[in-house]
Amino acid sequence: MGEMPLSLEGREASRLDILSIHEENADFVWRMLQRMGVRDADIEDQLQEVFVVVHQRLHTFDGSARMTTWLFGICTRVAAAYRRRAYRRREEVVADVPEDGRVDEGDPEHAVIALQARARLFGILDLMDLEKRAIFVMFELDEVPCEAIAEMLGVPVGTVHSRLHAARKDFQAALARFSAREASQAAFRRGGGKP
Amino acid sequence: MSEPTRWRDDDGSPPEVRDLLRTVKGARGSRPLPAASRARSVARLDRMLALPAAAGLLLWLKGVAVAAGIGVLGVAAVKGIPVLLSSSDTAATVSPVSTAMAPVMTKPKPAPTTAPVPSVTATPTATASVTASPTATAAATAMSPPIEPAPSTETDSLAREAAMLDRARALLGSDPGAALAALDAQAVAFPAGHMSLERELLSVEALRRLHRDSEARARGESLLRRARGSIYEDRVRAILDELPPP
Repeated sequence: MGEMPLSLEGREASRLDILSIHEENADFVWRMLQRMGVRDADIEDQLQEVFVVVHQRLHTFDGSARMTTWLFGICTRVAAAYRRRAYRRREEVVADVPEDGRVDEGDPEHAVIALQARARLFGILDLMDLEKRAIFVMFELDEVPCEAIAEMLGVPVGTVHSRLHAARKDFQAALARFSAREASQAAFRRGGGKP
Repeated sequence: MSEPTRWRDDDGSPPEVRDLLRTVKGARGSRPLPAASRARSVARLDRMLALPAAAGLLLWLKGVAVAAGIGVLGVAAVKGIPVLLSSSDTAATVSPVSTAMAPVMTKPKPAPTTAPVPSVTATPTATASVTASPTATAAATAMSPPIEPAPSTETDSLAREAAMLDRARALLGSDPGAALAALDAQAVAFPAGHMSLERELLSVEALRRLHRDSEARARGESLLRRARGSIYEDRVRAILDELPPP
């Protein structure tokens, strides 16, 4: 934090600030990073990344917006950088499919279908814009009411509705891209791996 | 404003999406932060926050090492290594470097037994302590002729930044206009300096003393936003409280 005082008292104040922000908001950041597609294996590192940015930029937070709104912006940038790095490493960027979904253990066939559907869903989400993805996941999967999303992001409920509308359109576009990719991969397989 | 219906419960939603969401019903997009991950995160944060203090210590140690090194070279330059080697007081097994250091270590001039904790602070007084520890100073004065330890560029810059603030602070009581000019000059010299909060605080105080109340209030309130949670917060508030109501 370039402009924060570095005296012992200043460091202590800054330390308390960052720790209290962490205490109150770590869960919010953790969930948001998952909603933005950060893999389970990387999420602790990315959580840390967010709080390093918070530590460095805290002096720019003037309190005119909600802390969660500010953190949402930081999460978006950290998740975007994470996504770019993942692409550069040519790694699979598909997030781990959450395993807390209820699977009918008595019906293996149904369980397999559900798992495949989940893999497909998260593959589509990975093609979405990060902010739209977060809104979509919060509303459609985590069942967070629009009112609560509005409070989290510090925007009016009407804004959440319009963002949700945009997120749904983005999801449909991502679905179309994902389906086209699936069709092309299927054709490739049918052709014996030849283009 | 009514809550939109979730796509999986909405018969009017795109069929492919609706079917997909119904199939994965129960899947969550996020899970809460586990206690173990939270604890690890706090520990990592603590380590990160401890880093500036460690960096300060390293800077101080570097200063001491540079001062000692220059002292050795100074002795070598003045007395000459051959003289040191031929000295009857020097045991044959003692290296010239050790010999050169010996006067420094045995000098009767009292030196504090505890080295000061290095502190790169926003206050000029403490900043000056970064430039040389008492031990390093004793080492330097033990040499003849005295050779000042060359501070690192960063330390030097910090000391100059602090000195300019000191001059402005000294003028504040007698000539707030001159103090303000000195602070403006400091801002030009160190636009991204380490003591910008301190500088701004002094500027607000200078403006108050010059009865430029509206400027003082505007800059004070802006500073207050930047200094929230820092040691400056109370000081800014105190100055603002002294201003007449807008």
